[in-house]
Amino acid sequence: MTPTRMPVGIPGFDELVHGGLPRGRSTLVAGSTGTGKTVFGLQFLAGGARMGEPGVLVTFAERPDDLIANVESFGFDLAGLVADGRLAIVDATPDPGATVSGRFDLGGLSSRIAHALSEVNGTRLFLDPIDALFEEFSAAVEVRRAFGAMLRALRPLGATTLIAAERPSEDGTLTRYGAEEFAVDNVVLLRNVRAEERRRRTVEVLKLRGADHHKGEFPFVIDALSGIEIVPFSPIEGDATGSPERISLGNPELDAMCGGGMYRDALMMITGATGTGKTLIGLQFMVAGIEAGERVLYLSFEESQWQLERNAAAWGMDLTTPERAGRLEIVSRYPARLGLEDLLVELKHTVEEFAPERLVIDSITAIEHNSPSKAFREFSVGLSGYLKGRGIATMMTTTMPNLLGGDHATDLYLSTIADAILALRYFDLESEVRRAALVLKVRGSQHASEMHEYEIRETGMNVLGPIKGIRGILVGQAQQTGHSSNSDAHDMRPLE
Amino acid sequence: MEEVAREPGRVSLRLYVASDTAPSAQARRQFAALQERLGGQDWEVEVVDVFEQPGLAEDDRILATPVLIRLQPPPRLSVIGDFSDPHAVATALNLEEAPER
Repeated sequence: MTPTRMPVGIPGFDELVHGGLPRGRSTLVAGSTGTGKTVFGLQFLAGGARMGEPGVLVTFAERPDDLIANVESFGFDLAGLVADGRLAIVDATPDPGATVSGRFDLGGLSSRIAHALSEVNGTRLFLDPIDALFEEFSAAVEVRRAFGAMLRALRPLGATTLIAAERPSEDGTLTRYGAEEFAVDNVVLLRNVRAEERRRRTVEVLKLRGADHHKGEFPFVIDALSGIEIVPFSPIEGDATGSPERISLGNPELDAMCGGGMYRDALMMITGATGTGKTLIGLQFMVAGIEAGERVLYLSFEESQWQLERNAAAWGMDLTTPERAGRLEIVSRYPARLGLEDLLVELKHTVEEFAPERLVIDSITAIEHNSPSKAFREFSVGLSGYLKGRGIATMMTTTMPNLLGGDHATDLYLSTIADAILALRYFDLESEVRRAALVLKVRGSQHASEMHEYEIRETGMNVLGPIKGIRGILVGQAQQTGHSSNSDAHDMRPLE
Repeated sequence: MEEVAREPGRVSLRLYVASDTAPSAQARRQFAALQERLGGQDWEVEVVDVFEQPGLAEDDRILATPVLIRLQPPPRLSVIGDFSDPHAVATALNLEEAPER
């Protein structure tokens, strides 16, 4: 017999447990201090209240007024929920004047919880955190016994129950007072660990009795306004058929090189060293979108909004007018200050609010710096999956560390998720530095296979045409073809 | 011994029990004995079953049962569990023990 599931109301969590927590069962939410146990439980209650499932909060450590004030910023509106009868709060904070002597049970608490559940017709119950109870009564064995008895007594009421318990450290026992020994059906573990100079929060479902769930740790963030959100790092399947519609990159020659522009739901990667014109191509792509009546989101991770506007003005592009008209949104960020999880969730929120048809990310390399490589890969997959799922035409630039070609791990990695790749390269021949562009891939389309020389003028990018008689540009070893290979080898300077 | 001031310093005690669980049944018996031992004083005494009056338990923020609370005079003091030793209970609740014999 499989119990039905109760959606928790935490974005992304219900997917981990295939639809929600088993109804009528109890779940231990364990984690060390500051891992988000209280937020998790309150979101469960507030989410329930929104879905017409009232609940009861039992607070052991903080007085109700303090708790309500402390979480006010999250917008759970606990006071409002109490006022309209969708939430009852049981104050189970310690009584300083009590002396314990001999055997006891938790009959008082049990009767109050049952009473509160019946008052609001509650189906959800959150006990937060039960450690305070152990500290008050000191006799841990006795409290464990009494608590277990109370849970059994409450079980017939059918409330789906969350029990928060403190974990002494990140790698010790699961809970300080052995709460996992109670009759809990499920265990959820929240972690907050330092990994390569960053805090990383994860959630892991350790046990879900008699029910299937996703294994392993999943990153999450605590948003200051909305609370916990599990980061969608696993790729989301988009529209498999893809859009046949082509859109302009804002440069007729580039469009032609790509076989007639890029697909409407594609992700295009522009890779090149600094100064090769990546931002210019991004801006042209943006302008083409605005001219086509679309909304464009521009994420500038390397330049401030002011710098971007100044650069655009130098190319004769006006960003201010479409911005004022609400057609263009520029978000300038210094991503090194944010964790990748935070960044991805913030990006998602921005995309959902602004609903752009086109997105420019300039550059993704700025995000990669200082990020653990595994986390960055997850971030890239999560981001591209999300954008493709929404059908947003995305242009993403990556900055190559070398001026003249060469491999770059990021590019190798990102190239697998990109639908189209445009490589920009410097090459030097006879002490003259020139620029070349090559379309490396356009998924599902013919495209030009020749290197094209281009120049950057005041009017923008100007493609001169295919390059003949030179090879080795892509890897930074340009040489004239048609000569004896020996003499060429002497001419070739080692390139950086 | 001076006369105990009646109002507002009158001692008010409330015993909370959880129906007939073993500790609560024992508490009822012990409390009767306790009243005798500490008796002769003009206490206001009340026995409340939390499952019959959960609202009252809520008002008094009762967690553990059985619990004997001195509601008056303030501060609120309580003893949880076992009331077999009258002297210990009197000490915990800061009650005057009636002169014996």
